[in-house]
Amino acid sequence: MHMRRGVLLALGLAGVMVTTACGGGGGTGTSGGARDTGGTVTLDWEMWAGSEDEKAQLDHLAALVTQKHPAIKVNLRTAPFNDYFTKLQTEFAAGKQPCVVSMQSLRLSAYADLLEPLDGKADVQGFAPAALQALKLGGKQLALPYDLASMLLYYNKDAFTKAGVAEPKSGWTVADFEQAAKKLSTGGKAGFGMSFADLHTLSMLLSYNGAQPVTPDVKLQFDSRPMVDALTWYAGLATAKAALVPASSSDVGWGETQFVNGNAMMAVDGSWNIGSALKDAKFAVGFAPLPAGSGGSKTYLAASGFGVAKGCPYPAEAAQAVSVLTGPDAQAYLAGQGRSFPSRTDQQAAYEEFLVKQDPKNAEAVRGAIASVKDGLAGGVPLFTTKNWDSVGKLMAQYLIRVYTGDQSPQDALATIQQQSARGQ
Amino acid sequence: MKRPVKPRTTEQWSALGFVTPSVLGLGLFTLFPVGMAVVMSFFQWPMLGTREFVGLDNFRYLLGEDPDFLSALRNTFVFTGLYVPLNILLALGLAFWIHRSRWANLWRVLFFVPAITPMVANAVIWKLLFQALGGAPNVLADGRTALLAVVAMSVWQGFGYNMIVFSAAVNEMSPSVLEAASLDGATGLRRLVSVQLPLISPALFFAATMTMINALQVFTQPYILTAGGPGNATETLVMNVYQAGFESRDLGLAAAGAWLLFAIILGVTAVQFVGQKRWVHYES
Repeated sequence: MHMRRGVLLALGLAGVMVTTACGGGGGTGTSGGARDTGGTVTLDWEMWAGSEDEKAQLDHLAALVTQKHPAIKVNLRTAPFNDYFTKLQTEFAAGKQPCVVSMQSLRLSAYADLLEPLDGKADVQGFAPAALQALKLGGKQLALPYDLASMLLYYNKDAFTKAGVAEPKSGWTVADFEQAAKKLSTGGKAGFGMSFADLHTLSMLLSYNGAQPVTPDVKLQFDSRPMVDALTWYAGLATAKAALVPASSSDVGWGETQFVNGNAMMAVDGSWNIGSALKDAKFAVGFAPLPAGSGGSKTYLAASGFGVAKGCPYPAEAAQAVSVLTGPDAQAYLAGQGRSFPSRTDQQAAYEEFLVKQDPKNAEAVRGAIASVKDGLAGGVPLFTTKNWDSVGKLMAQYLIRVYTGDQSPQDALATIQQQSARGQ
Repeated sequence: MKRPVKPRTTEQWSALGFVTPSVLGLGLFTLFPVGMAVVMSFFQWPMLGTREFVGLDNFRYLLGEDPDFLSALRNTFVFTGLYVPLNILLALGLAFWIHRSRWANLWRVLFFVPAITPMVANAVIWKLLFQALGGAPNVLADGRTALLAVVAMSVWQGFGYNMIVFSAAVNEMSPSVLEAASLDGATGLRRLVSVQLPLISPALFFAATMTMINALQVFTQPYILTAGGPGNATETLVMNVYQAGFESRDLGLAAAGAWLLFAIILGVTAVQFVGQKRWVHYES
């Protein structure tokens, strides 16, 4: 009996030691690329993809790199969008990161220290300045954009016609918007679908009075005066019974879902959903720039793109790969596939044509939408975020809803968000 | 003396052969991570970046400064305090009722269905139900009712398992004891409290302990239904740990939170084990 216990203990200990040895290898400097004896460099590229179609599109982009630079091969790895950033941070933690990293402007600050600046290493001609700006932090270009997004006001054309309200258009003011929302709130339907998601909510606050939750040097200022004023106005839409309040803090896509379902007659959503809203809604959808407040119509911009991980053993090749992945050919291809609004000015028309071809009877709506996107880009500001933006998003979901239901004052809620997210910003 | 030694050694080797995989598995996937979590709880251990030994700082932060941890603790206890009794009472009542029903097996299957369907699917359906009920503010958006809604959904989801356990125990009640009780004139409430409940007390103890442990670890239901809101009205301890680890990327803080939760569960379970001597009767 005595001996048996000793053996078991020894075995257990051995197991622990084996694991320690395996687990201790994390954080080594180089990963994500390899050079074979023939001199060909293979680079890992990690990207989000939700379907086989999307994966095929990305494979096509990877092939473009080898076409242009025969000595570079790109090995694509994908994860669904919801898991992508969790996977990426785990890979960085374990030192198993890819050379070519896909990045979203809203998450950039959390990864800023892990990305190689691309300034001087890649050609930045031909990109919309706002798209480049969105992926820049501390004056350094950390990734090159492949798309660009702005926020738009989606509206139910049929409901506007039925209620005899003039349709939103460029130059529409906050007062016009409020009036329309009130008029359209009848028979259990609401004029507007509210949100607590960052781009959706903060863009409306920005357009109202220029309120910004983050300072230019990337510090949180949720409790600033303009933020309190803007949130007081936004929450007032709920008090006036002109807007649908999210049913719970977990309803992240509330406004846009209620809009497409026909329960809210207006909602704020990103330019990336133009095609799907036209397809899914059982009514005519119209698009307009966000209602203009004191400083004219404004929206936050977001961009996604590709960067090079620090510690990549072949940074020059990786920068070349990024240039091809975001180059004119790749952009023309993605625009033709209807992937998203291109970051390169020359290719933007191709995206419009794709949407029109997809849905010819909505051609007018699509052209209106793209015009509104371009309008938005003119008054657009990239949304720079803090390192702990995930936590900030969670707090916005938990506390803004209390303001909408009248449970807490805008001032108190914003102070709580500010105070609780001060750590780790 | 020499003869018995040989088979004993062979036996020992085969025992070793059988036990090695599970010991290795236990060591690799349970003991090592648990030990590692202790170590991590004493470090500032960001998911990306350098680690630093900070002693008890993580625990001090959780108990003193973290604006959410204490409310998560309170919410977890309120949830457990409501969920466990409701679950046990409902499961017990239905077990006794089913015992006398002609359609016993049908009821058992029906009531067990929620327990075997995935929790996430259940929570999503309930969320749609709560939304359809409407009301302004919605029950899930109102700080006074959000946690109650989570409890209601959880009881519906969880009582089926306990009902099966109780149902088996009720069926196994010794007929001779019950007959003796009825000859002595014990009926109704008296029979239930003094005879039937003591007879199934081992099952009651098992169910109460396991349900309590599960309740203290509640995560999926509030995560899907309310995401911890409104405010922090439905934030639970495991959500707090998840938030620290995967949203704040502070693995040291998450490990410290997990250890506090472990200590609480260990304490509560120990109290139950000590208390059971008073009310659990084993037939032997």
